[in-house]
Amino acid sequence: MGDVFLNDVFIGSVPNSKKFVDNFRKMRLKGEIEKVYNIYLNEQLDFIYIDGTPGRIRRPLIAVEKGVSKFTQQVQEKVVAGELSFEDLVQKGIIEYLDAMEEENAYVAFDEFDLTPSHTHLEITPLAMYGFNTGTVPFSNYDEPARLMRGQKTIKQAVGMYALNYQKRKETDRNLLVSPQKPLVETFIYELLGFDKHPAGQNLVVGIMSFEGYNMEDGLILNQSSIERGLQRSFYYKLYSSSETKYPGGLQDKIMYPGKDIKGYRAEEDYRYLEDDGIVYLGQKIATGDVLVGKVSPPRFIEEIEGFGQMINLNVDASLALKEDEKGVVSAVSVIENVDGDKEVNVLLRDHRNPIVGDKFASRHGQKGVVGATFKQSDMPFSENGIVPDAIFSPHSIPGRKTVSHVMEVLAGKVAALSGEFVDANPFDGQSEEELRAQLKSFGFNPSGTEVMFDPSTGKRMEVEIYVGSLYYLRLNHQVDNKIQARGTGPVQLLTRQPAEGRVRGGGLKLGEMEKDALISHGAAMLLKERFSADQTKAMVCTNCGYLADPYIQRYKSKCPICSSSSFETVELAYAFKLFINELRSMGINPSFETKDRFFE
Amino acid sequence: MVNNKILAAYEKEHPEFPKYILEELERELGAKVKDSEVSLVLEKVVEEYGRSLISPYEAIGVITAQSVGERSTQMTLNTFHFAGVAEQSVEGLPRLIEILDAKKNLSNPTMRLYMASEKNLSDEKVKIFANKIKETKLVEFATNVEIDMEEKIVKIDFDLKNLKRYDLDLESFVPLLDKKIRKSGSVDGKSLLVKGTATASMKDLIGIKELAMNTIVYGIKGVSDVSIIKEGEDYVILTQGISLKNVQNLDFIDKERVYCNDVHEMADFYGVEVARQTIIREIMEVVKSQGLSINERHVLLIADAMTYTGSVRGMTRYGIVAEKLNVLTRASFETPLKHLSKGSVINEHNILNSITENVMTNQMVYVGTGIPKVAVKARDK
Repeated sequence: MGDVFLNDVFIGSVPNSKKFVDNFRKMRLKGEIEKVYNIYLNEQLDFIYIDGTPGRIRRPLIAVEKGVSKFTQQVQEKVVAGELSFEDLVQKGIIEYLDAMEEENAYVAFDEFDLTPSHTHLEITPLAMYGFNTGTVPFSNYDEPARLMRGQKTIKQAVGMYALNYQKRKETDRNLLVSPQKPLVETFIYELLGFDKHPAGQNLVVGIMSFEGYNMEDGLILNQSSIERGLQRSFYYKLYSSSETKYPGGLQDKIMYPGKDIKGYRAEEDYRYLEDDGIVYLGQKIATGDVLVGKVSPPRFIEEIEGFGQMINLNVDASLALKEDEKGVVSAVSVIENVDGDKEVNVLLRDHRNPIVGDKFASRHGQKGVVGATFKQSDMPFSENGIVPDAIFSPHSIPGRKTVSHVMEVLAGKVAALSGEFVDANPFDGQSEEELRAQLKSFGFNPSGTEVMFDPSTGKRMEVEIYVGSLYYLRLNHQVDNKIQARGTGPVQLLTRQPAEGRVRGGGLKLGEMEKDALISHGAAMLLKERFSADQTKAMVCTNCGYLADPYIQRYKSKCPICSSSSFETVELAYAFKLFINELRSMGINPSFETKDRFFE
Repeated sequence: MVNNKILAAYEKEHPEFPKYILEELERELGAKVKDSEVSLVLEKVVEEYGRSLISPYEAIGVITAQSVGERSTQMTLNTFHFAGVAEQSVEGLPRLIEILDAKKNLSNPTMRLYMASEKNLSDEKVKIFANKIKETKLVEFATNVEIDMEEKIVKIDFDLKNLKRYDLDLESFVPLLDKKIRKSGSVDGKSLLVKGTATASMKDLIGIKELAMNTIVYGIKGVSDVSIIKEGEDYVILTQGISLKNVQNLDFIDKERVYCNDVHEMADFYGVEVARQTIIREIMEVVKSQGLSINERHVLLIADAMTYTGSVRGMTRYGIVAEKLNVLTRASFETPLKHLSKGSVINEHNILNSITENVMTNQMVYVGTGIPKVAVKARDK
């Protein structure tokens, strides 16, 4: 007796569950039962689950009958001739969709040659075991699975041509590669996805060697001359928007060229790129401090009204200006009405980004790295034929990570570049290493892929031959220009007078508790004091009663209002500590001080 | 006492130099070495000794904290257990925290008991000894239990031959029973009878039965399990559960080598110096079991800090931190409000001499380069 559940609801039981399930599947193949239903037999519990609910993940497999694939030679010919579509195959029961539960009952062959009479299904292609992204990694069958995961992760971060209507879209930031190329070494899935129509990377001539030490620890050396010719050049777009917000009471912001009499008026030159409507010129190159959209806000509170009854403009400047480290060219301006019914101005700023030291690049094999140095072409090693690599990659990155596919791609890329034909790098059935080496040999190159190279500074031949080839490199959207942060002095927090936090606010880098401990254990007391001196203040302590003096007394040095003494000591202390003392006072604890000169005890 | 002429002279001249080093030196050198060579060796030893000393105002506490702290971050990453094997029962970071906080109830209390050496030992013999340590409840000897509802009597039968094998007497069970049922217990042949009150219900009688069954009649209370390992020639009994006091009555164990991993138990039974040694030993063992290493000197400092007052105190806000002199130091650790309000009530005086407060007020820290002072005398007018 097997209990039957339809969409997880008990509907009855059958005497012979195995027979029932077999019959169900046969009828489904014939089309007598809708193909959306999947059936699963739990033999331990003798439960049968029939599922037709939406939202299941299902995948197509070729049906197998008595050890013979239903996708026969004749069917294949018809498909190639265009007489049968994929949908027809599904209807005819040649291809079946299984969900996760029914897969448990299936015995799926990886390859047609592995088929035995006990198999129930056959994979359409071994590639199906990869996801879409992972399937685009060339020679992925040579890699460790963990590396493939990392490889596909970096592919997702690559800068490319993501959409053609980017000028009209509303993402806050976006990256575009200037001249993307189709990879020389590619897989079937890459084309299937249509990824070759809008690629995200470029084919670089890569030498695998150590050079001047600038590519250690996953560093990358780039050819500055190649960069100047447009290598891995990209645009960074950022959207700025400002709207005429409405306030209760009928008041509203106004986008306009601000008049000089408003409160908070910036320097006149900050507004110089605005047109009469208060919006920046299209195509104008602007930088930090320049105003993009001029805006005027009405006064928020009644108390703000001052000026002894005279007629003055109480409006406040609320213009949108560029912050620290921001620059670019106005690429598009759009004026729209937003969901609140207010006028909204969107300004798209384009920034030109050449690869610089600190930018992140990756191959498709999880080998990501940061540019360590750029050298002019004359300072890069060159081969017998005069080939100068675009990038130099460190060999130390390979053995520990076992990314054989990375090494294979260099070889295959070289063959592709020489033959002018794309190399098929499908996992399991792509071009073999022997084929590639034989082809390389036929072009007159060393089949090992190595070449004699020369030192640029001496012109002498290098002692070892260098492995050179073409590798598809991705520019990742982590760019130093968006991340660099440093400060000497700058904005401070209002309450504690300690430096502000965060890059956008021009803040400092926190020296935390553990870092403090590190300085102490080195005995670097002087450095510690200097590093924490950002909020150093002077305070006066009454030598008689010991209380911290008022700011009033600090200014006029008169008598202590508590004990009428007039002798004070000036002490230097952290403002945050003084704040702490004041907070204790507000709690009802009044700490007093005794002062002592610690240098003349 | 040093007899060598040169060493004795040095000792007289430098009374602060540790005597045991000079004594060891004399022992190692022997009598035949020439005087010039002795002074040469002494010079080297003094130089080496000076190099091993910590400089004044070195922040050794912070360095110790960093040395232990760094190791412990690595421990969290590989918290694998040796399941079932009693020998390797140290458990990484949780155990380290247990030691440093001087916790009272350990998650894995164990004793190591060595056998007294003069006995002719075999595996079987040690097994019998081990059984004498393991606590055994009455239920394990009982063969049958009956509850007589009419007579209000719980009757527990025993196999007397089995009891004899363990050197046990049924009569001796009665005084071991729980206080509530001790008086009503009696022995009748091969059975133990416990009488309930005249009005006792079935539930009461079942309660009496449970109490009687759980009576510990054999072994040491608190030792729930034992296992035997062999260390070279020695047999060692490892126990689950600690009772140092009761172990002392057993003649088959070596009383000079009784050890347990509970610092407090060691302190109570042997004194604080042994507790200090236990802390050192346990920390080193945890670190070693994780495949890491800490210089022993750091561990010595920790053990000293925990025990120097004469009792064991953990590194918690109730332990050594609670006894810090300065309010601000205590407040900057945990529960600041408690310390600040209490400090204000009793008018605490806080001399700014520790690191924490000087960092808070941004004054020069009394460490390293914060110590040397330069004074310039103003020119006389």
